[in-house]
Amino acid sequence: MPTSPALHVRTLWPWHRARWARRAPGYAGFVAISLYPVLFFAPLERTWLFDSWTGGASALLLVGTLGAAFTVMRDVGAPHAVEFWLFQKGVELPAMALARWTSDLCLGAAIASWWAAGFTLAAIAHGLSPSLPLFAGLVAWLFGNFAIVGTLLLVLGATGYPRAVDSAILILLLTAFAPILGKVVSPAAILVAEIILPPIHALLAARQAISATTHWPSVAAGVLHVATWMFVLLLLTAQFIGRRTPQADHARADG
Amino acid sequence: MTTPLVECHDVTLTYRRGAVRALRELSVRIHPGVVGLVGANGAGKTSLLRLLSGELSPTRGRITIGGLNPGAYRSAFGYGSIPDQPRFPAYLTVGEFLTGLRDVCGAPAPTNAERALAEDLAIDDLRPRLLGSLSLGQKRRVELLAALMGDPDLVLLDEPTNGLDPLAVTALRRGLLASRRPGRLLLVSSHHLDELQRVADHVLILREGTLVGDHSADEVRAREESLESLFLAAEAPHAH
Repeated sequence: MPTSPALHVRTLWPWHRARWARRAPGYAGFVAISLYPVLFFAPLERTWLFDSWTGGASALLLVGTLGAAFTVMRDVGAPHAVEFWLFQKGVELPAMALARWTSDLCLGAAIASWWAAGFTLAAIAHGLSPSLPLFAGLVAWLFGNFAIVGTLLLVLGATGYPRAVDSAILILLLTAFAPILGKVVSPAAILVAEIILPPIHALLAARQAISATTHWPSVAAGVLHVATWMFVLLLLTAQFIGRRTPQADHARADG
Repeated sequence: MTTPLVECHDVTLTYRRGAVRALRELSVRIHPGVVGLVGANGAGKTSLLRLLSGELSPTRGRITIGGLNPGAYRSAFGYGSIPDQPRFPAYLTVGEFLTGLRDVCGAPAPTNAERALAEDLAIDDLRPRLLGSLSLGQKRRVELLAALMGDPDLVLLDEPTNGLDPLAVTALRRGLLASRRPGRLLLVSSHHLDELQRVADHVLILREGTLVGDHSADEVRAREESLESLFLAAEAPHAH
């Protein structure tokens, strides 16, 4: 019987497809995801919200990516009914969760690529000259944000706390406001917070570095920060889920 | 006499730091066949099933299945189980669910036994339907087929006939009997004693976490007693 998460992703791909189509994002969600890039062709620089088309389109990309991640991966770490059946066939619960997370990230990568392609075409329509490195950096940035949100939802769902989505939103808001908090708390506290909190800023810095010049140390630092943060959270997830029973009742016997 | 598949040695299971004693120094050997597990609510039936599935570990004592601890047995061979309440991913069709489960078990195509059981349980008509749209009786039939996927030697059924109408009970009983084979243990926890008496080769009676009755079907018949009278006799000193 397959025990590797990679095998579960491949073997159970039809299950993941059915979950996406009938549950989240659902058929309506897929239509919305497909049509979202149409927004980039609008004259965003003429709205009161944005100073430039680039700023507006980037904001739409980020908001859309976070929204897509919350929709697709909202219960990635929570108990699923399939766990009861896969457990009895020899599959470990952490492996199932990891396979679910991995397959949802594959969908995230597809969404990131599609939206980055839409952005690039819209940029050309607006008289800009996007480059291939910019396109690749955009896909990586969008996918990175998707993966950060997905990993946060995974570990929060794995704890068994029923309001994982609310908690994740709160943590991301805290991350966004961290620079402002720097005015009232010590730099050391801010540094600790930036390590622990979702590394959204690390990704943004990396993306900005790609947009301006190819400053590879910034890119490498950002990627390393993200990868380390995700690795630690995945370890925590395995610990939390390892204590769960396949009937998801968190029954804990003594001994 | 066959080799026992399951052996429990002085198994004790407590919850909440000893506040709840689900099983008390339970020792039993269970041989392949259809074995009924009987007891009042809170007797420890579900706790025993969860220990055998490897979901929980005993507080004290030892359980072996085929000579291995339950966790190692599950990893090596898997088992089959039907929960007391149906647990299905509502977004999958019956066909998708069974095909995926078969793929996980490493079987490329349905076996003859699976096909025959699917026919006995009338599953084929249900394959295009979403699991969330099935009635309780239909879910139970799909559960039995899913539990037997991978041809496990150990099958645990927790109150499989609860809430079923007589037709559904008959269908499930037929499926259960059709799934018997040498070397397989079907451990059925049930309150429906008359139904259990029709299918079980052996019956274990639990009361307050201890084994108070261990009877073969032949013994029950020889004594011209019913399973209900045996159960009531075992409960009698504690009847309110």
